[in-house]
Amino acid sequence: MEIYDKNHPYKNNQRGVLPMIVEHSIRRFKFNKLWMVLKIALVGFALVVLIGSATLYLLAYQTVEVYEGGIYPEDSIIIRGTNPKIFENLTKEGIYGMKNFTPVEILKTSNFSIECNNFKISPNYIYLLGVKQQYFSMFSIEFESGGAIKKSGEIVVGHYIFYHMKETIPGFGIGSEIKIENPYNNEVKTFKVVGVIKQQKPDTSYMFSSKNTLDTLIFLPLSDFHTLFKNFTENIVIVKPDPGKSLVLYYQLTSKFNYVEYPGIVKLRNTVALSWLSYFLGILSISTLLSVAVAIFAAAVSQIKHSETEFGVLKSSGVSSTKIFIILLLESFYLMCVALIMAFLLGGIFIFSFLSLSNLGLSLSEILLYTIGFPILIIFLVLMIYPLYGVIYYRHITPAALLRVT
Amino acid sequence: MIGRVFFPTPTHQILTILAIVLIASTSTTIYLTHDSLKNQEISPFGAGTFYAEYFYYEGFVSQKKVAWERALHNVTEKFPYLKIGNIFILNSTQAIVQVGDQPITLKPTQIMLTDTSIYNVSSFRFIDKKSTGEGIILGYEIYMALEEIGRVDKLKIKLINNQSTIFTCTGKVIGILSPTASNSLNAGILIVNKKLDSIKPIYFPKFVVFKVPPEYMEYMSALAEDIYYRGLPVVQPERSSNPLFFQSILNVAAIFSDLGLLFAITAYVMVSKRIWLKEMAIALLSGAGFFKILSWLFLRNLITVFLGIFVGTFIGVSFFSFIISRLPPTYYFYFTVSNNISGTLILNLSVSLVIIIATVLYVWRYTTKTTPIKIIREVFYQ
Repeated sequence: MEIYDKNHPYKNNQRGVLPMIVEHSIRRFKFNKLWMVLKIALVGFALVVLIGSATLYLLAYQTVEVYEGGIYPEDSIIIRGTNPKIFENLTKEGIYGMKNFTPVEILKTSNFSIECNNFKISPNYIYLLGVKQQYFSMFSIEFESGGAIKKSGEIVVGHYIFYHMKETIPGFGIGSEIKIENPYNNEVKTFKVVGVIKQQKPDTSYMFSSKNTLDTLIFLPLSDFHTLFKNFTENIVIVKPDPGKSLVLYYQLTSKFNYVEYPGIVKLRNTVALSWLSYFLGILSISTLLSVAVAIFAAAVSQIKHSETEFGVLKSSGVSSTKIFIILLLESFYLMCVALIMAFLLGGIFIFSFLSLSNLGLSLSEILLYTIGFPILIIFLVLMIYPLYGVIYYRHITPAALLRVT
Repeated sequence: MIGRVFFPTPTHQILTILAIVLIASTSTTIYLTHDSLKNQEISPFGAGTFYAEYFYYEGFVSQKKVAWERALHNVTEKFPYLKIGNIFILNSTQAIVQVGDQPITLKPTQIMLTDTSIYNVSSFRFIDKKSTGEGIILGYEIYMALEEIGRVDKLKIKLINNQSTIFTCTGKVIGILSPTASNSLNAGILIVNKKLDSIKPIYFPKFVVFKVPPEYMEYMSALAEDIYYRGLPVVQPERSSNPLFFQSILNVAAIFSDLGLLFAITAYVMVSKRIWLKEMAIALLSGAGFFKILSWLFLRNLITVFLGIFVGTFIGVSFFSFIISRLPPTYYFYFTVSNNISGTLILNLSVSLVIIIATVLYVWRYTTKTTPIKIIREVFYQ
């Protein structure tokens, strides 16, 4: 009759210590299923809150970021329904903080068509703007290629429009001629593309579903725009403030005009709200982390206490405290692996269901680092409570004392 | 005996209670914050206020003025607990504000005149120390705007009506309001002056601001309606729609914290399995029956969890009342005092009670499938 199991790993002297420790820790992991499920649940909760808070913050940040000038230059003040003459009359005494202004016309309708080399393109995502030559220098608009409008019959296009047309229309480029038609009075005018505006946002700005920037614009000379669309245009005056004087200029203009817009004020409000929100989400994350750390410590205290006999046997067999620490560390390591998988799953779900990556202006790796990287690091630290407590607890207890306790 | 039954492993129980306390307090704080934001109103003069707006021609006895004064008298008699303050916006065509040497023109409705009674009526929050004296109070955005000109510590204000000056004032800036949900207050310049009666009689719209004491907050809407029918054209505060997005974020955060509470209590119950098995074995050896053991278990869990929940909710309420609700408001976040503390407590207790009952049922199922000797063997000879 065999008394000993020949296959038992501890009987096989050929095997190293480390595989035995790994096997022991796996057995412990299986034996203490309930503890592990509990810790996984706690870690899961902490991850939900930490990754959730980070994602929510990014979501709020994204909402704040999209409040920009839209199709108008950043930090400009827009006055609707006012032509330059009225504007000049009302501001002839001078307004503190105003650097310059320029008239702009926009279309009241989106019903127009664009044709180039016998290809017609959909204008749904394109905005037409009638501007004066000074518009480009006034707002320091940079060009990717070509330059600003100098005379009648020339147009400048936004980055996205240019590349979209290049992909759709064979032979399209700087110098190409395009026809713009107003279907209401059958007026058609041919323009020559003279410039492409530098991309306003990173590559992500190709998705324009929720954001309109200069990338989606076609600039026409103001006179041509007026001739082409006549009664279908709206007069706008765009005011450029002196640096750092935009808010005071905005309030002065509101006392003279009825329809004054300053997108910067919305941004200011949202930025203040965002900092409050980050403070609040910070409190939520810290208190959750604290709760989970205490709960995991409570679990560690109980689990370590219930393993006294087992570790008593190990210690009396000559297993050092370092090896006990490695056994416990491995248990935490398995949990860390589970936490890592959970973090990526949760992060993926949160990021793709809440965020629109195109609007954040951050790469996916940056977003992952912010939403998942930091929570994982914190969770790893929290999970280290268990092996550290274990080794401190067992270090000074003699094997006899451990075996005595049942 | 009681100690052995109810507190078999004090260290573990204390730590568990601590975890429940922390999660319950987080949950309570978030829940109250969320509830407080849900009740947000855009009253220009702060939470718990509404106002009546009326135009009359000062200096002339008119039917309208007589009717207004009679209605106001009726209201003060009927509702003596309502605090009343006056705010005037002079009917001017131009407002000139001078910062240092630089004059700028603002919208005349941005300039509001009042006396020190406004402090009793409004719920103004300041970004710096609280002001109670006479001087000029600036809204957050107008302060930011004026600061672009230069240091804003003294202002010269002139109101002009058809080229004749109707009001001038040079005063010290005594406070800057925190950003609020009311854009008119954010852009407003409030002149607090005792000598309000000395203003030349001129057309001016007058606001009477009513402040509802906290104990009558629930009836604010009914009160405003009653006052309206008594002849004062009351403007009720609107519910803010601006912070919907940020509120939805807090909704999600509130769900997270409730989940946390659920997890913490479940964690306690799961961790307790080995403890209660051992205790059960000892009790069985001492001759106790299953029913008795189950009732002990129920009571023990009840004590641990309820203690954690009560203390946690208390800490959460204190944290909300003394820290969060006193935070300066920032546009979409303006805190009203939430009166749903009992609701929070009931919610937390119900969640924990359900889990405790589920635990006892689980143990009961376990005991029906096993024998006492098996339990004793499992604990002592595993």
